[in-house]
Amino acid sequence: MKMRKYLEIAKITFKLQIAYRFDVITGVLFSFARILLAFILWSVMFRGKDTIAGFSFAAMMTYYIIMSFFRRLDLTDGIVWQLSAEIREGQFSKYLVRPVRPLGYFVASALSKTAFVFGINLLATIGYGFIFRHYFLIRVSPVICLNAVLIWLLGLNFMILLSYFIAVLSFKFIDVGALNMIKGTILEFLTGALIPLAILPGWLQEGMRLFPFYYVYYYPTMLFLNDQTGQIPAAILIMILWNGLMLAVISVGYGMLRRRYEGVGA
Amino acid sequence: MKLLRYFKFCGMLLKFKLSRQMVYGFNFWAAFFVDLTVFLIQIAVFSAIFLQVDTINGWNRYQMIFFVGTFTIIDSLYMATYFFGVIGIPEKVQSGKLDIYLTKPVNPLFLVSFENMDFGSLLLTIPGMMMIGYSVVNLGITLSLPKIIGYLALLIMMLILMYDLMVLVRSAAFWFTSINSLQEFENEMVYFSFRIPGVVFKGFTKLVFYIILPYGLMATIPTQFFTGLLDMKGWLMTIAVCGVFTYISQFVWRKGLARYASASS
Repeated sequence: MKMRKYLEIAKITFKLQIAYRFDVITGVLFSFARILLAFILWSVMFRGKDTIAGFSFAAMMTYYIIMSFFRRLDLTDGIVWQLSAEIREGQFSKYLVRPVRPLGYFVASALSKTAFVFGINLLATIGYGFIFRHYFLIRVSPVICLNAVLIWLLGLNFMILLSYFIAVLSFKFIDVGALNMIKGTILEFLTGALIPLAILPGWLQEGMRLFPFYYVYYYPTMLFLNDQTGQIPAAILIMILWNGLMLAVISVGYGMLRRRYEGVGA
Repeated sequence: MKLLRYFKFCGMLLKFKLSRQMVYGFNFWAAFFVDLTVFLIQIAVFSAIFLQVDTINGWNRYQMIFFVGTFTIIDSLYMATYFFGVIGIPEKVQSGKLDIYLTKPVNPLFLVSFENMDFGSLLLTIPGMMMIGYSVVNLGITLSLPKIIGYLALLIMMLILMYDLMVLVRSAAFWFTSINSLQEFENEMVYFSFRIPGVVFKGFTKLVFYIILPYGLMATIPTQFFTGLLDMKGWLMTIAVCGVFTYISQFVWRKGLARYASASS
């Protein structure tokens, strides 16, 4: 019964997304620009080299294509913009009078948005795979594939929680836009969206494995390249722990900061 | 005389904006910290890449640092001057707020572009100059007055070119209800020019990113000049591209204004 209302929220959000289908489609198409960028940049760097940090040129291109797929599914950034604006403008009250928990509302809504773009993204990725077919190598068993999806889902949930937490900070700081942009820039690097983390020094990679960002896009992508498959149980455990920790932080933070809300804007 | 009047006017706009910004201390620093993060990450990315390769199409580590430093300066200057003004154009066109600008006794494009200057961004020129200083020392470049003047001239040209491209994209709002996709495309192009030195482009991609969508010129050309890699052909191409895009953007803006019908645009 409890879950049903969140399912309804997800359904409504899904329908609302149809209104933005043109933006979704163009956004997906523009992701091709980044793959093209990777192709141009790395083709220059691979001149006279067979591998860089263990990647062949084909593996590098496959990495960027799969990475692009995962990144386009993450629409959690919108949570910060929407929720912080609602807190600022006093519209947060609507969550207080509805029989839903705000966190549950945003989790359901974010997952629904991801579900909406999933199909379009998958088609685009298949298209990119075809365009770069000479450099697109996926060699992964269905079991590894399922594990990659599970870890990606845990990573997505963590990103939803992180965005929600940053938005909740609006109760105190009012405008968290700059903080969110800084977060976005740093995470682009830490999640391996800019360059494969394998390029970084070994000691740094070891340290990064303890943090959740390593597993958000980078690790699932590497699993699709059939790499680091021995660390799946550790990855799942780390992500469950970080999700739990983030939930605890949100619970404490929301409890403390919500009292500042005055209903007519924080 | 007219130019002097515009400079004075610019000073007034800056004074008003500065007094507004000082009321919200955090906002004053926000753009600076956001941009600083971008460039620190950029340095981290190239440092990581240079752990694996010695050069990127002939450019070594220090030329790349110079490139990032130059982009940092260009970015901070355009953010400090016209960026926040120009990005507001579509909303003003669609809501009819442009009316107010048309009634003022100054060029409306000038007013709309420079009314939202952001002093905080200007601070970013400091790390930019530090990056340039660091690479100049390590590249063993001897400083001379013509080199500095040439570099500054190219920086100004790139700022003008960036302005032209931004105005051109926003002028589309006179014809289309939503230009979100176009702006997203522009974001991707700026992302391109931030992360890829123009020297990696060859043949068709060079034609695209140097002439048709000249985002690839931005930090590459000043870097090439300062490190002694820009020939006369490069200078002429840069001047020509800059001139042509200035003409096109002004032409499109004027055509758009002629089409503007207040809130019904």
